Amino acid sequence: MRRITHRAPGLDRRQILKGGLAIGGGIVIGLRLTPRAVAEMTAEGEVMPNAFVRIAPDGTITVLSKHIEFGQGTYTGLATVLAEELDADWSQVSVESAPADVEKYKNLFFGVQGTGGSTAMANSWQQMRQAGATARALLVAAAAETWGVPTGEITVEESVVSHRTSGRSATFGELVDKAATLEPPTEVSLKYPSDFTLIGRENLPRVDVPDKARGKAQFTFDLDLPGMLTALIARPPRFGGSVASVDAENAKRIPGVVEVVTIPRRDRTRHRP
Amino acid sequence: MKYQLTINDKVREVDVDPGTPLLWVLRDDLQLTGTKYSCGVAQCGACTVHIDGKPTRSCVLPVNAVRGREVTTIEGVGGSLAAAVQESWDEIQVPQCGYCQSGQVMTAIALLDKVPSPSDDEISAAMTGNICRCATYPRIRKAVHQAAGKLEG
Repeated sequence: MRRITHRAPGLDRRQILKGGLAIGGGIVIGLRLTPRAVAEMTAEGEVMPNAFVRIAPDGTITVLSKHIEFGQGTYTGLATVLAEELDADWSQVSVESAPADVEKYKNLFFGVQGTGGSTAMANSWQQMRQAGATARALLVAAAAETWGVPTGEITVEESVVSHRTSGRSATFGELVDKAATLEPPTEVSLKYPSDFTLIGRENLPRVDVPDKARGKAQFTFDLDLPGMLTALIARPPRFGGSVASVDAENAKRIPGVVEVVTIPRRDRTRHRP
Repeated sequence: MKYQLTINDKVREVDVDPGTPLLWVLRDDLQLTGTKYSCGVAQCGACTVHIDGKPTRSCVLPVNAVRGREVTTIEGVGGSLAAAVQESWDEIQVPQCGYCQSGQVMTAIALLDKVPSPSDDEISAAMTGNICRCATYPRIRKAVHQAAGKLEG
């Protein structure tokens, strides 16, 4: 399989999906990883175990949503799924839009980066669970290595990693630096649905609401990029009309107008020579 | 033409054509993008701002008409009244897509400023010009009542 050629150092064929194989109370799922030795560290000192989550030293968890939020609740839904597997404290979770990167953030149903057709949750469900579980496993490994205890004895609850027998515990934020020196795990256990605490919870507030009530939510129309131009389309005054001629001289004299472009007539009835 | 405008308690200078609608001065010249453009003909309420405290459609209001007047946008609202409204919006989870909500919030604040404990009919009368394609109207009504309750208590 093609993905083998992209495997992370030290990976074997076990990275291939092993759906349904129960080990240690969870389901072992293989992950495809881009080759890199250790977890990524951002300029802000956050650890980025994978493309979908960053954890800051202050404990803030930022989920990157590959789908747009336009009122359908995607930001909240995707973050819930990731936070569930991460065993995160929901109050520390925030969401931001993923950047343009088709390879990392494509809609798995479409093959391109896109939102629509009620696919956001369906195509991301397993992906976001894996992302959360991988991040959790990385933090558990960081704690295990710091304390010199087996990972299997470590528990995680609401962003706190604990080793009950020795009485030690650390917050996610406290483990960020250590986690950034480790290799993200290649196999992770996913929860059984009966263990879900966030998924299915009633009245989990939507993360996009406060900004929308304060005029802070950013819509495409609010973007202002350096050198950005605004294009306007003058449509025919009659249905089915097409351009007979264009005199753009007056329009071009308006301050700020850069160019007037005529959209070529589309002839629907005849083939062009 | 140069204008000195009082926007959100600050004097801002802009150089625009006198007929430029206030909305575009806010959005394009002052980067106050919380106020939205939608219909452009004062029929939907998405562009609602306060002019001397009164809810006003900024998309058809020439900048020339707001000289010497106080303009408040969603970015500039504050105090206990705005907090009561916005917290109620959070609690009731009013917005869906959210595009009209700046206008909804601005109209709701202006209503409660005038009528501290509005009836359903008074809410309907005040909010009727703010259209919401997601049809969040029942939640808007509930949130306005909730905000009124907070301000009383």
